[in-house]
Amino acid sequence: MVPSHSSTGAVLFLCAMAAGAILLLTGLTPTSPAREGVRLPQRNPSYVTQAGLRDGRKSPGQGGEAVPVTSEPPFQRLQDFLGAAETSANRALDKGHLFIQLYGGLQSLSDRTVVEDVDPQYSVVKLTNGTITFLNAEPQDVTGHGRAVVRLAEALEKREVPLLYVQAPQKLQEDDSRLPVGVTDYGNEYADQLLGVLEEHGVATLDLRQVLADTGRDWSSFFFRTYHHWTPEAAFTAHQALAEVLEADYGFTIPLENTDPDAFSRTRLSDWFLGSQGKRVGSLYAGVDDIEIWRPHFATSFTYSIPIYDMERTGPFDESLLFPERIEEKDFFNGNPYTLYAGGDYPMARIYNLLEPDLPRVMLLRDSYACVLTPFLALDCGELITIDLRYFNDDLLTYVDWLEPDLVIVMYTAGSAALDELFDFFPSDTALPQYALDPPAAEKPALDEP
Amino acid sequence: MLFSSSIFLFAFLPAVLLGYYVLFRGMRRAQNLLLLAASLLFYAWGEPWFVLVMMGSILANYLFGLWAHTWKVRGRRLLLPVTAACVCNLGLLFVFKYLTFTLENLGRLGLNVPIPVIELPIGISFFTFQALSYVLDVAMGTAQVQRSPFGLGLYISLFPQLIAGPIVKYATVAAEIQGRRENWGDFSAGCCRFLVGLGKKVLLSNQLALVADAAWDTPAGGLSTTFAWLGSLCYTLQIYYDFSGYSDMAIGLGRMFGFHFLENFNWPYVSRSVTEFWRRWHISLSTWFRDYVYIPLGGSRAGKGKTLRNLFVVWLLTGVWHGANWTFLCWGLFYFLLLVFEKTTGQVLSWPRPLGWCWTFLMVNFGWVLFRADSLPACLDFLAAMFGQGSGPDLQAAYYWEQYYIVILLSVFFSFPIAPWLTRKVEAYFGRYARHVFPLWDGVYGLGLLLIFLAAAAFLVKGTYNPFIYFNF
Repeated sequence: MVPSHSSTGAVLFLCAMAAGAILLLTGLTPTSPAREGVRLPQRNPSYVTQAGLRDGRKSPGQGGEAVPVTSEPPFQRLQDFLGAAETSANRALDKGHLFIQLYGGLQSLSDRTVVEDVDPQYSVVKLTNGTITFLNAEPQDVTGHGRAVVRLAEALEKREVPLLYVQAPQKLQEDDSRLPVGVTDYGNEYADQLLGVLEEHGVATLDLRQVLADTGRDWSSFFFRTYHHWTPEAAFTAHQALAEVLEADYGFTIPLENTDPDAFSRTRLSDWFLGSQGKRVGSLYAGVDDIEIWRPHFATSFTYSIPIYDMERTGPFDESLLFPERIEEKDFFNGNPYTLYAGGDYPMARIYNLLEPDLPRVMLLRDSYACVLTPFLALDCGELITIDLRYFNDDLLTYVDWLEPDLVIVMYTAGSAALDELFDFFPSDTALPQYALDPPAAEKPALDEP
Repeated sequence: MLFSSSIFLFAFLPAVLLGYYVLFRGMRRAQNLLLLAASLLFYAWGEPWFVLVMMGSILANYLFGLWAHTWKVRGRRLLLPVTAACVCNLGLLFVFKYLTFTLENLGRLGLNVPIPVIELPIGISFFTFQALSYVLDVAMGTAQVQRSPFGLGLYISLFPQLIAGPIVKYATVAAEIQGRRENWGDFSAGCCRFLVGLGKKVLLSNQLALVADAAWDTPAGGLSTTFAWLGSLCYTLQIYYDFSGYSDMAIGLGRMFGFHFLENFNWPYVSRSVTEFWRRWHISLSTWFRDYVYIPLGGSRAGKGKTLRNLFVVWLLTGVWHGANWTFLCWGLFYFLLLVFEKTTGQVLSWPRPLGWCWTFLMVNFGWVLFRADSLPACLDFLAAMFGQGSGPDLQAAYYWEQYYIVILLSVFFSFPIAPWLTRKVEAYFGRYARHVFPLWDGVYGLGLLLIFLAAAAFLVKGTYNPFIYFNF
């Protein structure tokens, strides 16, 4: 007789179901937003308006144009509501992240090295050394992005501003043997294609993948365990190489202490956080990460200003360029200690070196890999302007004309070489995103004083 | 709404249980109304307006039932009400499920008819067959007419078996609509059965689906022989765990509310002949066709020729019931041929057990390839890949095996009746002390089920792949 009947099972099921119902009810109740992860300060609407007016482009819904409001049929609205209910319920149920932990634990038990996500681009891959990452799973032709950088270099050349393309590394190396059987990553292929185009057109480049490989250290040591980003130590090594290039090729004078690791104190917070991949599969799947806080021993003073959010921090390196509030609390799922460095991804930020204001002004077009590099690079500059084109809505060349940098650095990680939005340097160009081979030179926009 | 969804598990089911056993305890009419309202909400959750189609079907069949009953009492022939009921029910099914297919094929024959876009109401084949079963049972005198439209509504729309079966014949549950007796034994057995079904669906079937879908999504030229076999094996297991998991959940939920639905699966993959397989697979559908088509046509007692004809009709209808596609029709006819072969030659049943099992499993597997393929050419491509014409890299097979070998092995293992075998062994080993051991078993089994529930909930909350194959039918 099949054991079809278990009173214990029924009681436990009812209890678990009731607990789930309570979790659902409490999870759906609105709570204080204070614990909802790292939140960006409120965007200043006046800045948006100003920025919109400056280049003639407007944010959606901005300006005098009427935005048509379409009313959906009631059945459609009901269906939309019902469709979204399951997602809301799942979010509410997993507020404490117990289910993600359990899910990750089960994946680990079942020996899975690829954990699929509802959105395939967020599937998590476990390498043979136990670390996890996302994948650039599809081969892609990114030479158009290379040509976009070439065009930017040409436009800058007309303004007598040099451009340096810095290829940041990624967690996976070319033909990485740590990948599971049958899994391929194309990130390095993207980067190689892009660098190929740049070298063909004589654009200056620095490949940090080679720089890190040449150190002879274990490649894994440059990256977090549960995150695709590099560690502050790796970024510092990259900064040393970059400083050499800046001195040799661009005439920078960089104080020795900026590149001397002994001039910094390092404090390690052990088992402190989960990276993006770790947050998707929990700590039982691949463990947790440490983070190091690098603080210079020498005197520093900066003002870090993010105008779009009305945010300004002034003080020494570890109070202005580092965000110690991001590591105050160990919070695996809501915190992001990586943003200890430079605070995260902002559309545009300006860092003024108050002790060395006469050093060159550098504009850095960046992705999230720049977070840990930015504070170190800021030491070498009189002013460092960072722009993240994923969130930046204005015309880049207008800013170049306005801010007159001495050097523009474009630094993206290998996988980012495939992201259109990071190469959208000329948003008014109708040829985009195809990046025609011989486009007309970008016209210099009318300068508008800030 | 899906059984395997957070809304169902943590909102809908607790609320219905609370209302049923706390708010309306001992109030049968109120309990039935609650179940009816909950069932309509359950159905409306995915496609709100289709609930109107189902309500129309309930009303129409209620009237057909009264009509058949009145004429039966008056001693009149029931050809007219039964024909009307069949035309209406099958007409509804035809419009929603087969009209587009028919027009497309007429178009291929040169008749240029505009093809409307018709969405398929979920589970229409199931509730239409149930509704028809009511009228036929009343006409045949195997069940009493249902005087209350709400009672009939509850039978047709009862959420446990509404959208993917089992197809419950009216006669099976007619008495339980008003006169069921809920008890803890049934309730706890229902909970356990539900959890087993949930585990089958979420922990096995959904995982196997990822491998099977990857194989079927691979273009014909890129599919390796190994991966084609792996994909077909995974689909064979997926469809079993998907459908039997749903049936387990349905039967379990029914028992939680005092309804006793008949079994729908009985370890089909241990079958040693295709004939045996169909006695173990989707039993409610086979029984439906047997009772309402095969036997009324004369069954197997009207001579060889008519038996063949009857079998042909039943298997043609079985194929067509599954969907509007030539693949389903061929799938039904494929089984017709296999069954005729087995019946007329008596071959397979006389073979040694392992050989009979291999034959059956292979045939069933090929049948599922036909069933899963989008079209007949796609099916042929897939079969060609299985038989050595595959040309893709085996890395894909290696990848999926490496990722899913534990799930695949567990799925193969649990497709055999291990639990009944184990229980028999325990009973035999402990002999007369078995009843002292079973309380311990109760606890261990209960904890195991809790782990299954938590694991399934974790997969659902994480929002993983969750297709239900039999919702399409």
